[in-house]
Amino acid sequence: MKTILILSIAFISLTFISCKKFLDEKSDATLATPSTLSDLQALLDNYYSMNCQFPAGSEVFCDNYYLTLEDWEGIYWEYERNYYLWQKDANNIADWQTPYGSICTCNIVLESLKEIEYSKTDIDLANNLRGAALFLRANYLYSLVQLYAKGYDIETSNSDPGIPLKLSTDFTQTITRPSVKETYNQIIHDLKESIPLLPVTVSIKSRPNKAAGYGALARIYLTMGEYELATKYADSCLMINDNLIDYNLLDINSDNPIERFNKEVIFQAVTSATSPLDPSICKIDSNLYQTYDSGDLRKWILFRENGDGTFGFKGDYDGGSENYGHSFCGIVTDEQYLILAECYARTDKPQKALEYLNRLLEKRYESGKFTPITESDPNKLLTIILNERRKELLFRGLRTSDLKRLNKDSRFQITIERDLGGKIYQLPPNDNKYVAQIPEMVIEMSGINQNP
Amino acid sequence: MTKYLADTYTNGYTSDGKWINPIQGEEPFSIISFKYGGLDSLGDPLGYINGKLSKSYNDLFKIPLNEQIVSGPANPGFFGSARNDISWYRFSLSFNVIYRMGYYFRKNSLNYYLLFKYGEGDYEFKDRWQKPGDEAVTNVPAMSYPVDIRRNSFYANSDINVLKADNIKLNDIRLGYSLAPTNSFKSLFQRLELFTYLSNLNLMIWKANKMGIDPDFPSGLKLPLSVSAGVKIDF
Repeated sequence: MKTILILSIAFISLTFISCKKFLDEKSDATLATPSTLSDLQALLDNYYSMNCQFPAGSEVFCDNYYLTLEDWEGIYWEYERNYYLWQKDANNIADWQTPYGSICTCNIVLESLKEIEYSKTDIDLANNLRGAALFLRANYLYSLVQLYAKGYDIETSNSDPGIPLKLSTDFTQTITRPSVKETYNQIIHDLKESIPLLPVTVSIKSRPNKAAGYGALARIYLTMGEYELATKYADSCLMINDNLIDYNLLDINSDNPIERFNKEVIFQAVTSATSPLDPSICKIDSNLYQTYDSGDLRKWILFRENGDGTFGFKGDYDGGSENYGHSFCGIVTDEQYLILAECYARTDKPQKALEYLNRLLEKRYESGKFTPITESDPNKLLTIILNERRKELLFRGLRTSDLKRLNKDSRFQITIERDLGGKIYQLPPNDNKYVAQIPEMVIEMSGINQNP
Repeated sequence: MTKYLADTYTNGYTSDGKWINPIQGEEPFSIISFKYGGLDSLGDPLGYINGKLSKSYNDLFKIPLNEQIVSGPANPGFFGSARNDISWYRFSLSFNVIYRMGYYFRKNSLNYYLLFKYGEGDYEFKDRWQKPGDEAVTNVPAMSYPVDIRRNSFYANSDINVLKADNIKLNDIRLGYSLAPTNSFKSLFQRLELFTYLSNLNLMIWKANKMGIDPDFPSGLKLPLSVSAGVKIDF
């Protein structure tokens, strides 16, 4: 009896030993889970899934381009045709799903960093990875809140619904929509935390660096109307990289005069591809084309004649050769110059505004043909700067955000129209159609509120 | 128009008349082009700067609006249609003639950029300048590779390619043959007519341009002829 008792106790106690290890074993040996820092680096270096999943909606909605009736009818997917007309029943799932997919990868990296063991010599790399994951997550959240929520409004940001903040990989978490203000707070917090962790220089522009962090914050603060803060961060960004391409050195005869990873690009990011933006059918607003002066090289660098009197866009900052309908949306120095010009103009420093504006335009006009702008009236100067912003930042994923924030100002309100074979569709200022509908299945599964 | 846009720059301005020209004092849909000066001895198109022939295309795109040639409106000023009905015994014939006068169009021209990029050619290709001396007999520029887009754009938008679009067309015909019923069928119907209707005929009766181009279809691809036939019965 005693032997049996001792034996059974001994036997049972054996089973306690390897419990922890047992659960750590993978259920399926073919599953790969990240276990080293280089695994995490590989996850973030996956260019297609981390740099190319930004939603195209912001570019589809705006007035940089138009489609003819025949070309619009020729689009295969009904949801894309409806999306072009801001219809509420478009049900574009991709623009919601792909950014959150990338956010999930960021969360995996952030959580893995807490569990993976690494040596002291790898601390810098671990910090870089944390910074990069935070930076990417913040940018994706920002792109989502630009499309699926109302524009940032100081008075209503506390009550306007934002977007679900996925900050962990726990999929049992209840999904809610915090306010726009909380969403922006999270984005800014992530970016501010990432900046000290990011390196100053990177080996390839698809990886974020400090300048990218500063540039992103400048862009976000401008959208919020925080001009002083936007100035500070744009300035910090340009202190690291203030290169401007001299357009005189580009070949105007080329189909893609601007190359990928050019010296103005600080961080490389593109939206997903979508039919309305396909270069073969995407035509530039002719009124916009006429706003470029004859000495302005952007007229020849950014546009190509289609041969039938219409114009297409060839100034893709992604190099254009693989453009099947995406739009560049990364961080570029020319945007930072324009942010500074606008913020200085708005904070009553016209001389500084002119300084940055003229530095930019000098590189866009034929050598010797540029007369620096000297407008001192603040209203007129701001109008000039905003026009140049429109002319410079075409197809960078920024126009719809600009429209949303400028439509709040009665001086700059416009109504956009789409003319399809005579039938006119309109998008008035501050209309609900500026905010995309959240995919139906997301509403069903989570119970969050749909946009009006 | 919005308050947002800057002034339109009019240097080197050209238009096909397809959209409203945002220029004060001009008709909204007029066709505006560069003044064409023929080809030089190398087969390059020439324009005029301050009255002198020039092929500095960069500068040609900067000439002021008042030096551009305004050909006229792209929409007909004088237009209408006339439908004629003729009947003779049992036959009836109805046809519609439409006329449009007082307008212009820009014809398709050889565009080397499109040729090299998409393989889109043009009938003019056979007339292009090929050897010295050709400049006396043709206006189509010599092929040059790689494409100089300013040269290309200058030729495409010059007034040599703008033609009068006035035309008179026969657009549709309806021919019918009616039968009255014989005694035995009188109770069934009063009248039976067989007809055939042709539309999208685009049969040109007269046109102003001497190059054989139908201004409605400058590329030559027409809408297909539509033929329907049927029976019309009156009970």
